[in-house]
Amino acid sequence: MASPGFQSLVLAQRSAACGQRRADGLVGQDEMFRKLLVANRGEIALRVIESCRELGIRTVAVYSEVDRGSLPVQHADEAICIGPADARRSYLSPVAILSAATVTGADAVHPGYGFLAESAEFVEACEETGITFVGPPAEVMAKAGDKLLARREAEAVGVPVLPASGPLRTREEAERAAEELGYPLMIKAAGGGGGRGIRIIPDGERLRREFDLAKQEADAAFADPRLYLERHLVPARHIEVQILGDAFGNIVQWGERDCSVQRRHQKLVEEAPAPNLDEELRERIHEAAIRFARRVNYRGVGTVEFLLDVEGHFYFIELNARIQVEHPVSEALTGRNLVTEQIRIAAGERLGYSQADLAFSGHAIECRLNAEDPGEGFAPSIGRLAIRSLPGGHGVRLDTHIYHGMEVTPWYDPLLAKLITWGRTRDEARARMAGALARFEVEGIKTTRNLCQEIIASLPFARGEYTTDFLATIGTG
Amino acid sequence: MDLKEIEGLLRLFEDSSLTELVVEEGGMRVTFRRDAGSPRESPLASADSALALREVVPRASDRLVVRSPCVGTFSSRPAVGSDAFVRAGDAVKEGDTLAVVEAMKIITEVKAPGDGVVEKILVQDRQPVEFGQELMIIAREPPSEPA
Repeated sequence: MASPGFQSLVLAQRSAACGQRRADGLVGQDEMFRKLLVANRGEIALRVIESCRELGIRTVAVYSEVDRGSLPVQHADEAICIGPADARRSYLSPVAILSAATVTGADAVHPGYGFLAESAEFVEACEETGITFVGPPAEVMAKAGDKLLARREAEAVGVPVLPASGPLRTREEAERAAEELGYPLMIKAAGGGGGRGIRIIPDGERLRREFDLAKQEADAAFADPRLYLERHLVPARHIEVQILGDAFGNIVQWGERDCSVQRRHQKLVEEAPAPNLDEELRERIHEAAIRFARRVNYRGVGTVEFLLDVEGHFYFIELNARIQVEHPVSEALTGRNLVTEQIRIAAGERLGYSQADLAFSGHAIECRLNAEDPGEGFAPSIGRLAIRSLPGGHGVRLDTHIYHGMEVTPWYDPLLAKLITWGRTRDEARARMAGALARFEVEGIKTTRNLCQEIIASLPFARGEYTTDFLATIGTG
Repeated sequence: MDLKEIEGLLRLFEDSSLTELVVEEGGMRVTFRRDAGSPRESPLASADSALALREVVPRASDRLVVRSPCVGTFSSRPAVGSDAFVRAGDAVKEGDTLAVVEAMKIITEVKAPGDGVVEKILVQDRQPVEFGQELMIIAREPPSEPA
């Protein structure tokens, strides 16, 4: 394992560190970052690297031993190996990440999504090290990360939440709470998020069986054993609002996304704007998201998630304090780059525009192409990738880190590519998606492409009439 | 020495690692020789000369590569001003501390992966190193001479 490149990159970094402040008119009163470390892998790492290039910021990619040949490693200005394949010793290790930031002289860290993106402890560690975390401050992160606390903040500003219990210590407490709330319920981990740490509980029998297990799991996965019960709303739509806030109290929303095509709380297809949504209701949802964001002094880019029932009542679920996988659909409508905005805000710049300045145009759909076999219960599919054809053309965007001959390993998130199409109308975006999916041809592993094709072609999707239980009704052939 | 004895010697020679065998007995001299694939002039390729060769150009299996256990700053000494843990030429035992890698005020010791002699230190003091980067080469102690 040769690393001559690393020695030279360190020298290069040292000379750059003696460099000068940026003096162009693009940046505000604060200094833009000189060098940003990308604490992630895959497509989002590439996305951040590209955005930094737009802003004139040098980049450092970090990688685990199995990602040595990855595209972010090739495309960043510098790259440094931080650990073995096991994420706990590489991408999830605050010490490894911050050590890499220190030795390469990075002045900012972008966490992407997943891994350390929503760890308040990591944000604190960055703050102590004097490295800017591209995301909200630690205290905002802590509020967003604690689901019970976030619910209270929502209630405090009149944003509706689903009926729920307080924190539950024992199964007996849970059973008493369940009697009051009524089934079906969800067990949720207070420290969970992004669809993780959730179990659907249809009856008392299941609650008895699963409570202790859920508690152990929450403790292991989130280092927080606190659980609570929340009403399980079905059928429902998952509607989320993209928000941005700067350090000067300016907060805007970039509209909503409909992410109701989910399997076990993992999204597969997203679109913006949400189809068949009453305009007055849409505005109320946007307004609730802004109210919540103001309440927690939100800074950075984030997403306020809601469930919407068939009668048009909406309920706050959680705040995702990070860039989200599905952010490109919002970019397609606004024509703006959310990641560069996120970095600008983290550098202390003003948002520079108001809600009224934002114009939304057309419709966008995103399909997630995962290395999973829908025919085998979405088992991870691994192997060597052969690329036959990739989609492109007007109104088509493919965010991906795949390349011909790439080895897909079982170590990380199965996301291979995000395919986004934009159209002047929903029908145009949908037709464009059907064509683009047909041109996504890879061999060597199983992907979710065929399932996405089925979804796009299905009648409920064509009509824009689907809820979170929709995907379960689709064949998985 | 009859033909049978010579046959026996031949078999012995074939099974050995010798390149040449000369046997003299009662005015009779038998020489077995084979192409050793090298221009060596030594009449007898003994274990000694093989050993000598090994010392000049050690084979890969006779060297241990010491890699960095983490990303950080390499340091050859426990503290500023103190002596280095090891220098080139020092004999080390498995588990000995060879250096430290410091990151975020956490000091990780670099341990010898086996017994041997420090042949080469590949990085400079206070140099940033990445995970898995080669730090030192240890030459294995030569195996004891075969009888």
